[in-house]
Amino acid sequence: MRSANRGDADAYARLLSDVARVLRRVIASDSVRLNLGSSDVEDVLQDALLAIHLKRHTWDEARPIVPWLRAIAHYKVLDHARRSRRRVTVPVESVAEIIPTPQPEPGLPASTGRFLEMLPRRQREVVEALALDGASIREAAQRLKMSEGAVRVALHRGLAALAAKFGGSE
Amino acid sequence: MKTDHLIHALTKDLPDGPQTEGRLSAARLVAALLLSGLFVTAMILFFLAPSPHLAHGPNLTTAVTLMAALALTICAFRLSLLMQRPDARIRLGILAWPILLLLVGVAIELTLHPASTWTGRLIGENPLGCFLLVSGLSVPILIAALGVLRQGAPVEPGLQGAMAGLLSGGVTSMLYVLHCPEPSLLYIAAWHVPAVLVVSFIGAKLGGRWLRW
Repeated sequence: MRSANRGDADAYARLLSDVARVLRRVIASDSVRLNLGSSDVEDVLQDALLAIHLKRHTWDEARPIVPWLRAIAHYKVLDHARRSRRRVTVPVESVAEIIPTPQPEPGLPASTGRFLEMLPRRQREVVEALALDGASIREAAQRLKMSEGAVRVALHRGLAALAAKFGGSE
Repeated sequence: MKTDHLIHALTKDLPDGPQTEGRLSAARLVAALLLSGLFVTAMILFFLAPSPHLAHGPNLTTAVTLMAALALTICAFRLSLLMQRPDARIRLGILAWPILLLLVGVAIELTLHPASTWTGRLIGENPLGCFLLVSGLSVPILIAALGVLRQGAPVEPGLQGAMAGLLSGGVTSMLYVLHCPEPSLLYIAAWHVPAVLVVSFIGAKLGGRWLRW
């Protein structure tokens, strides 16, 4: 994370993948305790990753990062649990069915896909190009006929808007 | 969207150089408090009569009010900033200091003046007006503080909002000394403290809505 704060994207990518792998397990076990469905796990994980990214300035570099990561994941699990309690749920699954089997990366599309469609067109195109097609900033800029700066701005706003959609979703 | 794709997009969102965004939340909070405090000071100076005690230099009431309000402001400021971090350990104990200061002041006042004057001191002349003014004038400062605190990641948004309420109440109480015509700490304790608590409650409600992330 320190390297990421200096702008090292490779180190950041490694960190986020490692974090995602660990947090998926943590969130899965939390979700069982809170009676969340296993399909929610990937949602919470993506929400947590967005928060880790957008709130990374709240980590004090002098302190260990694990408690900070755990605190964010925990907050997000509780947040989703709070919201899903308000939503009308039909509890058809038995506890045994809910217990998630740890998967490397479930192929299920999480809510981000649905939220993505709610973004303004430019932001959606940029996030899609970078996330789904794996383009670089420069490729995306060429393809969408935007300046690289505009792509960066649209990406940042798009990610922030995605995070907000998670926060407001019922 | 797959999580790996999301991670890819996130790594593309790193700025090229070292990031500066959000670093200076202490400085930003101070700036927000100063600006909104200036606004409230202007309101007090333009629309309210200056306190009759200012001309005679500090007396016990203004001195203790200022000290307690300053202590409240400092403690609430520190705690507000701490709560911005999700992994922070929050100890609310330091909030006892402003209360202690005020109570000592009240005790001194009660020993200096005969019991027959206590009721008059407690009620003052326009308690409801004071209560409403202190809480009302705190609102712009509260809004400004919440605007800055949105940058953070408080795990208890309501508590963060309540702390912002205490902070703005503390700032307003310091500024309100410019106007407050009442000469009694008993009065301050009875009417200003509830006003600050009301602002804190409003802050908790607003925080629960605005400070989610």
